[in-house]
Amino acid sequence: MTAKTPSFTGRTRQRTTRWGVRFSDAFSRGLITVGGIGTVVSVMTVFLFLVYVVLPLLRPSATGAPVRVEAARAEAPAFFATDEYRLLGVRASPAGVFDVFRLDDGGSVARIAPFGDAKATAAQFDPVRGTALLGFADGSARFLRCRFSTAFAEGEAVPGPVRDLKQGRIRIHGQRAWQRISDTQVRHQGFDAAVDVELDAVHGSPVRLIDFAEGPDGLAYAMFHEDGSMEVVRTTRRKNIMTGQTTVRRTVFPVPYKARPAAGAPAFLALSGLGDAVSLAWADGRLQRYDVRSVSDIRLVEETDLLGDPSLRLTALRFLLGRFTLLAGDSGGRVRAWFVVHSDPGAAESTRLAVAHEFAGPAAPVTALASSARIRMFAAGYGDGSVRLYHVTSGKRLADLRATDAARPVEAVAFSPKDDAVSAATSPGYTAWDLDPRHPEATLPALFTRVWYEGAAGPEHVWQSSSGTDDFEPKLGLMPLVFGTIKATFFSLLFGVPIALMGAIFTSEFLNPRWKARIKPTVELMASLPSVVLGFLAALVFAPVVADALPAVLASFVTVPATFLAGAYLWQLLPYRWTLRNGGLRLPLMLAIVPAGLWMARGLGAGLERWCFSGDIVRWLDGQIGRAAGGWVVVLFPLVAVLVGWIGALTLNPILRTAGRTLSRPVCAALDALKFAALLAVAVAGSVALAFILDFAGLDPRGAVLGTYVQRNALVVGFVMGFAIIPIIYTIAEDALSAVPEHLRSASLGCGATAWQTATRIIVPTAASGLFSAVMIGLGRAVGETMIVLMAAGNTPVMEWNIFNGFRTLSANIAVELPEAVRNSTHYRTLFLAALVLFAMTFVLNTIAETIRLRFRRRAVEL
Amino acid sequence: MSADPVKPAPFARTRTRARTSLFAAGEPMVWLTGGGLVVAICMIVGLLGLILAQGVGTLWPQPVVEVRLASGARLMGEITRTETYRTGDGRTARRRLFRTGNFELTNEHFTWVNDADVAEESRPEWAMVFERMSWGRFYGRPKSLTVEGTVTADAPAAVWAGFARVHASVSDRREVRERLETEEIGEVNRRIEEARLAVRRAELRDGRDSPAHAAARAHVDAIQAETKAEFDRLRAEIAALNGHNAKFSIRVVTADGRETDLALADIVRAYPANRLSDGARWSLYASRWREFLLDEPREANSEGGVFPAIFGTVVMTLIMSVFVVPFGVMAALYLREYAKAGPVVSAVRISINNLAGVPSIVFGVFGLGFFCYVVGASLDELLFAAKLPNPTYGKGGILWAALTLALMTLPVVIVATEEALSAVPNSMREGSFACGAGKWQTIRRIVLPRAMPGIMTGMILAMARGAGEVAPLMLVGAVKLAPELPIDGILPYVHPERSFMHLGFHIYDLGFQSQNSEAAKPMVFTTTLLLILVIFVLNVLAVQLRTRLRRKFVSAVF
Repeated sequence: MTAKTPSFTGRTRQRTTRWGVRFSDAFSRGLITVGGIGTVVSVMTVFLFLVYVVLPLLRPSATGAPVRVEAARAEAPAFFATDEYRLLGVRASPAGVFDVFRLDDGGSVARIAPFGDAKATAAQFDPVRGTALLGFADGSARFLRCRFSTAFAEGEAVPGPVRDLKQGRIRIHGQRAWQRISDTQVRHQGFDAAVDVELDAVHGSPVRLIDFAEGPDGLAYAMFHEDGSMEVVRTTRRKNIMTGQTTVRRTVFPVPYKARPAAGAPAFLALSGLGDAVSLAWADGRLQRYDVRSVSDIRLVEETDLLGDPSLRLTALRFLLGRFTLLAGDSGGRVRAWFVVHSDPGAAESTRLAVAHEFAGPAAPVTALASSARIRMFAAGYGDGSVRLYHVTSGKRLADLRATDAARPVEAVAFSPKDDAVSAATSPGYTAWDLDPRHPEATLPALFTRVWYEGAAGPEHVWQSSSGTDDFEPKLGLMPLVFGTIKATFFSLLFGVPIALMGAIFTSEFLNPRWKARIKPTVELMASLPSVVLGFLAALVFAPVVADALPAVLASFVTVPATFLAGAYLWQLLPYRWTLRNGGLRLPLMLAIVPAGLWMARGLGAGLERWCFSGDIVRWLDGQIGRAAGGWVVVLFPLVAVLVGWIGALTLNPILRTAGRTLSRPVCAALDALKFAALLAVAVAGSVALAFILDFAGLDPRGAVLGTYVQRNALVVGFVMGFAIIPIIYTIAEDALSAVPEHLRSASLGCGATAWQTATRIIVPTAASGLFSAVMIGLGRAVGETMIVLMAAGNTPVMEWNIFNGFRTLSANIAVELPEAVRNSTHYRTLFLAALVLFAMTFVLNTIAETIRLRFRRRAVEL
Repeated sequence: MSADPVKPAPFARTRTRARTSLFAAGEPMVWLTGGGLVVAICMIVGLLGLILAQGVGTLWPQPVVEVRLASGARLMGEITRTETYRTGDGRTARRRLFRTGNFELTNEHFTWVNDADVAEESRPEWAMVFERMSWGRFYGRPKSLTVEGTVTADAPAAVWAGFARVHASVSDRREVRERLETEEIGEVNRRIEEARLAVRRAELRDGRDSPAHAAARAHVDAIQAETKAEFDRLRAEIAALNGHNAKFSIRVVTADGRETDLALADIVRAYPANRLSDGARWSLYASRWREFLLDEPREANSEGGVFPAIFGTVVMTLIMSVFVVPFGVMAALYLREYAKAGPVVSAVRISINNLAGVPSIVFGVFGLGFFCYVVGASLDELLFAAKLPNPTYGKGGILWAALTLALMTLPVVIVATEEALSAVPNSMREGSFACGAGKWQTIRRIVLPRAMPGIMTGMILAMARGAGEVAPLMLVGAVKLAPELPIDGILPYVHPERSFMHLGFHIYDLGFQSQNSEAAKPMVFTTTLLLILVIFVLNVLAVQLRTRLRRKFVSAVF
């Protein structure tokens, strides 16, 4: 700067900004921008992360490229399996000779004939447990343990020929495959097949068909002989505690099956998982199911047609994991899943097979079926060389593969033990694919629509994510939880919204400002009351009280409002001048008459229990005693009372107002009180009449809105969660009402409207959108509330509207199950989906509420 | 009737009657709306009253009542609850729940007594209550006292006097022993554990059989040899203390005449309930409160104190505010001072507002999935590989809990700060700029000081919300019983990976997971009272600050 500008302090003025200031300015701008945007973004990450965890649920299963190995032609295998590390495969001939081979080049590793020269005439394998039962020409059977075994060798224990093995390479030595896994360790595996139990012949005819099931107390097996006889044998192992000896007891159940000469011999035999029912199936699709629970009462339970089409033939029949669902493949390429259902829940003996799922295939017969050992997935091989993978519960097709280019039938399919590969044997050689089933049990329909679960009478919504057994079918229907959330929200809004809105109207329009300044912050303070406190009070204090005095609690919903109304009519009867001067006394008076209302509730409750519920409300609710009318009266009275009150006000008030012109005030007040009494009587009479009409029409509230009483129920939750949302609704609603410009109020009052008329016709309509947004925010709060429902709702995922039953909400379900869910399992991701649903629901509700509130605020300013 | 009736002038007639019709005033409806408010107030007052009454009354020493039943059985205990019930023939009757204790003899803590069954009721002068370290309370009459292995007193008054004299020294020895067990032995164990970890670390870094690995192994052996002597010394010391304490016992006769010896070391507190003077009652009450606030829980949390829970709640809330305040303020500053106002910023603002309404459990799910399983697991692999597969950060801990709650309460702080920033009049900013201040100078010197009370309000509201929230904590680290506090005297003093106890979770746990829920119930009320007090104090503070802030701005506008 050349020209010196004198300043009044005498010093030279500094015209440039100091670099320190400039730096801190730029620095803080950068920091705040980065920090601010970062914070906002990180908050949004919550949503993105939930989506990121949920998305893999919907990804299809992945299969790798086929790896095909040609091998010497052999007869169609009766059994085909691969090992856990996918080094070895095994196939067994129907006669009972096992061929172990390398999976990478098909080279033979071992040939095991556990029975020497004896040839089996029938064989059944259980790849899941590694067991087999083979029947022989003399009618005897041998129980076999046949499975891959893995062992590790280190240092000196490693045999010479494999010492120089390089890392990861495989070499066959001594009928085992050796693979070096580290500098010091070598892993080797082979296939062992050894006879575990020799089962003597019960009937000396060659065995044609055989099946077995391992129950908790022993082996059960069924045999069908050449000569047409059939029996089921159940063995029980008992260990003598004193001597330590194990004795095997056999019980033979000869099954006098109904022969079908026209159809020839049966083609399939299936023994259910508990060994209590045996089924015979013919190639034409007929199936006979026999109950073999007791020797004296072996009988045909049903005869059914598995195919439903005379042109088709039954080509494959196999149990799914758990030996409860039968998969029936036919010559038309269909696989149908059948299981036993109780057709009539009343009768214990009425069971039937039902076809729950059907999986269409290519136009070629089903030639091979295999069930996964871990989940309810099966693979089907077809006559045209294609292989398809399905998940039974969700009905999802997981993969559609081709084993050969030529249309050669698939002879056998097998899953690897960890479900990470699937292989198919075709006439020469076999094909293997890498497999990642991901989350086949969770499809959108399986999560949100009715699904037919094993053993159920029909498709239904069920949430049951875990159980003790391995072959349990996870039931991941989210609808019971969504329903529980809606039920909790509905009942809490039913209770909370009227109280909060009425309280807000009274506070903003009728309460004197001094009181308002005290009461409003107090109610606001309650919004920060921890919900765990409310939940604890609901479950441990309130629930027992309600259970003890249920009729009185029900009655109080009527008597308390009625007391306030009665108080108002009495107030009107007081001298007008006095009431005008002492309007501020109304609130204390209202407080004072609450005990009166509660006392009346006790009396009315006792009366209700005697007249409406035959003296014992819990047994009445259970449906043991009494008639429907009593319950209808209780259910209908509030509705009828509101209706009668409304119609009464519409019709009687104009008449009374005209008539009232000529009458003095006390007479008017008396008339008004009379009107109240009359309307009350009409409401009681009306609801009783309606109740009897409904009763005679055969309708019963039990089973719909009423039902068996459970201590932790929707009434308790509705009451306490209603209380939890009152403060927030009240605060926002009161703010909206107070924001209505004062001049509107003054104008209305100046035109001669009463305070009540001003409130209902000017203030409330103007603030309606604000009130609506208050309710929406309360709704959002109720939807996500966790602790109260967790503690007071009983947490049973049932779907019924019964106000006296519990439920389970999305939020409580997350709190209960997420800590135990295995990371990245289907269950874990499904729980994240539940959280995402909650997030989306509340976010949408709040956005609607917020938009409406902002619009209202802008309009209120304009007015 | 005449054909020409005298009609009064219509105007005059209405004029004389001009008044508001009673039917238009809608008095009944006004009362009904008032009823809504009254019901809400009643519920609030009832709820707070219940918690206050139960919470304050729980620790008050009750008299001990002895009853002889018609069947001849005798019971002694404190009356906890009275209720009426309906008998089989429809009449109502009264019954009382006696806390009879003596669990090792009777296998129950509580007994219902029907009034109809009571033949005789009395308050025996020398009925004593013993609060014990384990097995809950014991009720009985003192018979004799054994001090240093010899019976010194055999009359109740003498026993009580003797007990009062020696109990303090026995308790001291017990405390010394406990300190030895937890701190000293814990310290030794920690050294061994650390050496083992060093071995594992060396193995991971240099491989097995490397020199470093061998050295670490040798170090473990050395430490083990070294600590063996230490162990033996500590064990001997503990055994000596135990042996000394074993010589002190009190023989007690229960109501039904059975005699039991109670070790003095096992007794926390004993008093002759029916002989207490008012002063003694108050001092007992105070001592119980002190125990409740400053001691650790015993008996599966149903007895003792809640100090770890208080500590956990406070530490978690503080860590949360350390995260939430700077970031919340930064985001608000950006949105209000730096970002260009437009549809994007207002959309962001609405979204942030709405996040305040997203259920807390959703944040818990995020915290578990992201902080524990993603961030924590990665940290474990990077820094704590030696401890794997035992997770260090890859599980719920106080840091993750605080971060989760910080994310949850972020909207509260942002909204409150924004409100405070927008309340600073623009004229002040412009004045500052006009004086030549830069943007940051203006914000730091003019805007932030004026907005400070608002920011504080937001912080306190966030703390209140965070302190009372339980649902997300169940997923990210609150536990029923944490053996170690998240901050203690062992290096590095702060252990952000540790699980912690929390007052809210304590309430849930006591009310629902406790096997002796009847005994836990009073404790739940006291804990609830404590939690509500903390939260209400925070809230009232926020409200006060807000009013002060408003007043300040009212005076600033002229």
